[in-house]
Amino acid sequence: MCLKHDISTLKKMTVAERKAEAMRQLKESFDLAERSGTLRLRKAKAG
Amino acid sequence: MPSYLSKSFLEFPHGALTAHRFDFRIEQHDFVMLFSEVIVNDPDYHAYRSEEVGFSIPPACYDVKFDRLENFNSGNFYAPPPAELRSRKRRFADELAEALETIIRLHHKAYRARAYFAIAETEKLKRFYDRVLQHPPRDVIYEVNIALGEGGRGYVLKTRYFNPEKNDSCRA
Repeated sequence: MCLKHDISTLKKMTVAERKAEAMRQLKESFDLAERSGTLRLRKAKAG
Repeated sequence: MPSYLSKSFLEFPHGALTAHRFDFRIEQHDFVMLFSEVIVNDPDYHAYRSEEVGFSIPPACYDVKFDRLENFNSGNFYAPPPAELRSRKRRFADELAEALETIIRLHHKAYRARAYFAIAETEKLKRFYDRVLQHPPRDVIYEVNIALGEGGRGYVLKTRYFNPEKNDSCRA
């Protein structure tokens, strides 16, 4: 998957819209990784 | 005190790069925190993002976002919690700040991030960030730039990996 950023569209968005769109793309990537078994772990202990 | 639900960063492909997820809980609220590296090999996008922050963004710089897990799962991003579950307690905000700092510290250590970028989409979140960033963890963050971008809602946290020659002089 290749993320394409349309700069003119981004510039028309409000801060909230941009942030929600970025989160939507992240969720899409996460869900796809879960389904396709491509999630990986990097150890990080928070106590 | 925050509970850290994740013991590891969950890594997942996001475009040509990898994004990272870490979950935590404060009181009865579960949160997800996400780190996505800023794309630097798309010239137009890189120029756009660099102009916003005022410097040419190098690799290993991350956009940071967090939301309630319920919103992330439902796709209703950044929706406020139901009125009966909202916390106005200063303690809640302090614990949220503690969790964000702890997870950024872990992420910085694991991935040697050079900078973190955040945007406050609401006035409430901007007030929260402005307060928290008055005292950033100096062993991780050596420079904080605020009031960037549209509406002055953008934040840049440069880490000790951003400019290694300043590393020693900028530790607390």
